[in-house]
Amino acid sequence: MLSFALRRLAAVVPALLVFALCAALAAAAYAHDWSGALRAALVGLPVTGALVVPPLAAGTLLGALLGLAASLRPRSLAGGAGRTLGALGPGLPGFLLAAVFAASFAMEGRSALAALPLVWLALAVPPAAQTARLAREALDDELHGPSGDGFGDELPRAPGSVALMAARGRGLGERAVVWHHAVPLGVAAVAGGLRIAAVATVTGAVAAESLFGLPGAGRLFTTAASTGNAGTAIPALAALCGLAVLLGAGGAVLHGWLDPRARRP
Amino acid sequence: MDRTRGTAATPKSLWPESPWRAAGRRLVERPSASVGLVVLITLLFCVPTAPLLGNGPLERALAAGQGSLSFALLGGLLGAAAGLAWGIAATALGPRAERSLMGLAERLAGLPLALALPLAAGLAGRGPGVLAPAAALTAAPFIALVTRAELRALLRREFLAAAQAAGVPPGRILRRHLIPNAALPLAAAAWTALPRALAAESFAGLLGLGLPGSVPSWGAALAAAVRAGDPAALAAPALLLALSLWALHAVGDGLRAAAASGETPRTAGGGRP
Amino acid sequence: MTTPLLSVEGFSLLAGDAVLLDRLTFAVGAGEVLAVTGAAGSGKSLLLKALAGLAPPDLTCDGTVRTVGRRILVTADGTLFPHRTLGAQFVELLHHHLGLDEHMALRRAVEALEWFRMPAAARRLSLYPHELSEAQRWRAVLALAVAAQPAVLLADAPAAALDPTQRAWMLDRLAGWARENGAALLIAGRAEEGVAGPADRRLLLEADRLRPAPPPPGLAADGDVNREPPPAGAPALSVRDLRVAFRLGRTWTGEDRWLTVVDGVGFDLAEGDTLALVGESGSGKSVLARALLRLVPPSGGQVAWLGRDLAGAPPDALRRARRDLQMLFPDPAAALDPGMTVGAQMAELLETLRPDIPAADRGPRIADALREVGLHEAVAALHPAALDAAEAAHAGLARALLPEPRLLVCDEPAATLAGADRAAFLARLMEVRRRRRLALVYATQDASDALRVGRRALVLLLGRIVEAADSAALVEGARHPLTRAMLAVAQGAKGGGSGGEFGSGLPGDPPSALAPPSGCALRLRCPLARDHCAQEPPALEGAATSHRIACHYWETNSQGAS
Ligand code: SF4
Repeated sequence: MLSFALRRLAAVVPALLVFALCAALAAAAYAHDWSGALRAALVGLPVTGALVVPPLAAGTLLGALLGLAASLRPRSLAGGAGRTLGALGPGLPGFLLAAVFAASFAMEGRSALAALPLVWLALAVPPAAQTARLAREALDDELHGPSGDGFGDELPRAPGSVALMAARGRGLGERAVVWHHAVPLGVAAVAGGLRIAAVATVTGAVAAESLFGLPGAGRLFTTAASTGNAGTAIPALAALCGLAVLLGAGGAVLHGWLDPRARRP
Repeated sequence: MDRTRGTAATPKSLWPESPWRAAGRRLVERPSASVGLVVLITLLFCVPTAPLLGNGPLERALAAGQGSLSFALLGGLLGAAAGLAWGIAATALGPRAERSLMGLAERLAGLPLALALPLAAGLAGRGPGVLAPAAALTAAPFIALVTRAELRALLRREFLAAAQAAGVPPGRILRRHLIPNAALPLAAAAWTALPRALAAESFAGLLGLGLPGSVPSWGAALAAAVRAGDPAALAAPALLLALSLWALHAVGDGLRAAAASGETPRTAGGGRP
Repeated sequence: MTTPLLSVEGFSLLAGDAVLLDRLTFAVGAGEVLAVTGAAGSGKSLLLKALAGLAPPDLTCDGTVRTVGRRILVTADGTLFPHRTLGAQFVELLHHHLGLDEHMALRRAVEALEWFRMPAAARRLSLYPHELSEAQRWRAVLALAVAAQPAVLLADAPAAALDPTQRAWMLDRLAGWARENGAALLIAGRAEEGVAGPADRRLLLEADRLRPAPPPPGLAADGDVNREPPPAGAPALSVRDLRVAFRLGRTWTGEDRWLTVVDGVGFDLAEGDTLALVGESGSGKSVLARALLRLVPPSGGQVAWLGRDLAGAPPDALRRARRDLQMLFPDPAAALDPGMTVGAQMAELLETLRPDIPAADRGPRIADALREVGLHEAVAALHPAALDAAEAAHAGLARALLPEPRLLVCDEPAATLAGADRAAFLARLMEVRRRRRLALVYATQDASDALRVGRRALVLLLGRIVEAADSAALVEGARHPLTRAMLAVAQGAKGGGSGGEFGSGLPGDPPSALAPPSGCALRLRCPLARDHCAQEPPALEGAATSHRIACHYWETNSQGAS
């Protein structure tokens, strides 16, 4: 596992180097003050990171819980919420929610910190929705067998996927079967979607930064792009790409940790 | 042997459906996909005719959809074509090209590609000629990955060997067997370019870096409402954008389901209870 | 046998009004092995699930099932949990059932794995299921069941996907464990899956009811082996030193790495003659069959049809040859294009291979061909999705017959069929062959099928012929250990008594073409191997001109057998 994690993290080093090179070249070619442009991009990065990581983590966690609830207790409140969230997810990109919040709550004259909870909320919903959907589908597959299989069976099918049936056959109790086996597999499926979620959250953070006027790499990028200042925009973009790649690699490591099948090179 | 079904029953009553029909049925049988289809068709009727309907906030928002939806169509088609060509090239050009092309797609898929739109708009101008290729870039790598996987699975299927054994020349195998069987899965893959292009343009428009101001679009409408701090003005375009994104995704999922279950191999008993 | 460990009385299973199982009564005592056979869908799996108390909740059970002690069910695909190491799965199960701590559980695990001869058992415990080969996964699944020391072990089609010699060996070990430990073992499966091999008693599940399985006809019964006289005339198909290899890539020194799948195979086939290619998975029989028709490009050697070499033939000549040479595919449903009607595909074949037939005549020809194989002519208007597996197999046969071929190459043509469907299809194939005087090349992994179909048989191992003889000669005295094992297993699987020395199959896994053992390829599985076998690959040499064997010790080893 450790070697997998190191390998996976080492694999992003070339990409990071390429981004750094692009940033340096663009800054040198277009910016008056090339070191200043690079520094501004790097300084903005932690702010963007602070906007991205908490909602990504919290949203994934919440989504996973709601998705599991939707599969295990479909009739409960949390289950219903998980299902609804998962179904609505594709229509709720982060930038749209950020726009709704920005228009609804006047931010004039308030500090940037006051905007933080709103941004986090806006950015947490898309990963939560995606996760809820993934978790529910994976766990449904595990618990009730894959949906829509090709058998037009007249015979009723026993509930449970093959793996769970096998475990029940070996005499393991129902609780052990669900909690030790089905749930981890559902969570592993969630981890498989982390990379996409990370990319989407970074994109959403760029929109949120400009809408709420937060001093991150995203706003640096948009202001520079709208003034046609390539010397600043490209380093900022490279920084954002680097962040997305790092988060994606983190997600892949988590996926490999949860699901050994994902560790194959 | 007496094949009871084959000999006794009239085959018309058995399964008169062609595979295309069956796929269409699978598509509309999914509740979300059929709702999505209805939504899309309604939008396609309402958006062009919105100026005739009146001048309320909803009508204005509908009218703003003209720019968004036509750009989504343009960028989506471009992205779909690029992605399909990419995937097909990776399959056709041999293992080495495949590895590098797919490695590139894999890497690009992990980047915030939607930022390409504001970047292109800021640096090279906001004409559709600049924005459409950028929107295409946001979708193409994903489509390329799916295309390659689908084609690989298809090329391994046995009926191609059977056609070869029947002496069918390669060009004809391509025309009559490969393309018809690839069409639906690839269409499902290509469809994903539409919501991606729509989302990317709206995102750029929200940042003030989307289509030029003369073209109405949902992203620009959102941006104006945010600038004015007017939630009421925001509601209609936000709702319409969310609705169309959701509908495009739902239909895309439906297409994928329709394409996938067409391929489930028919197992012969085996482990059935 | 005092009290049976598993006793079932008047057991019925109902789904609403439909009776799925009807008043079954049987008992299995300590150390007894019972086999329940039945066709696909006859309810074997359902019966086992119900006996394990895992029947689907919407079914009603009736009657009594009494078990003494722990019962464990091994489900049909023997799945393990994908995200846990083998060791962790043993620890969890043994802790649950026997209350063992981790140390003891792992000791038990190693013992159980070694009982099934898992190579390097202790090291495998840290592997995940997806890191095991199919055969090793089955060893682990059975070891897991055995380690929990059940009093009643229910096994549903265990190891069904493995090769016959491998499966027979595993079932034999499983039965041996039950006898040694006084457990009741119930194995269910299709008759072709060899579940009856090690059993003490056999029951047949048919039409919802159980009855004693009829004694199966012995393989050596006369009508069962192809004893046709060799047809006169010059060979029509002649294969010389055929090789097929796939490039795997480059080594770091820049040399190409090749995977040799067919290695120097040669034979002759006269018109109307039949030849069986027998081999287990990885033997190259299927690739060989395809290479004959140039569906896989051969990398060396010669395939000549009526004296003309096909290997370098231009497209036109190849198309003319394809009119004579047709193929049946292992999965007939997959060999039909799902997007075209059956008739359109048949018409396409006629159009390319028989341009001499006017388009107007194609329809009647197609209808004739469908009728000849016993299908309604209206099947031509159907899409393949509307056909079941048996109908698809027949449609495939009809399509192959359309251009009036003279040789049919069959690659396990009934692999997706079972039971009566399978027998019916094979009977139809043989009838068509006799009527049309077709030559047949028939690749199969079932030795008894091979001897029934082929007048001559080639036994393949790792792409080479290890024994070539007339079927009649093989029944009387097969010489190569692999042939003897395959024949004995095929015989034993039907419950025709023990197959002698080789009746319980061969241990170990078939050799891999990626890392073949030195010397004789069978060396690691061969019970008769000696030191010399590791040093030199045996050459194909003759006991008679028509009977050739590739084994260093065929003379000495076969004395006990005949
Ligand atoms: S050569 Fe040796 S190992 Fe090979 S089959 Fe003969 S006796 Fe067995």
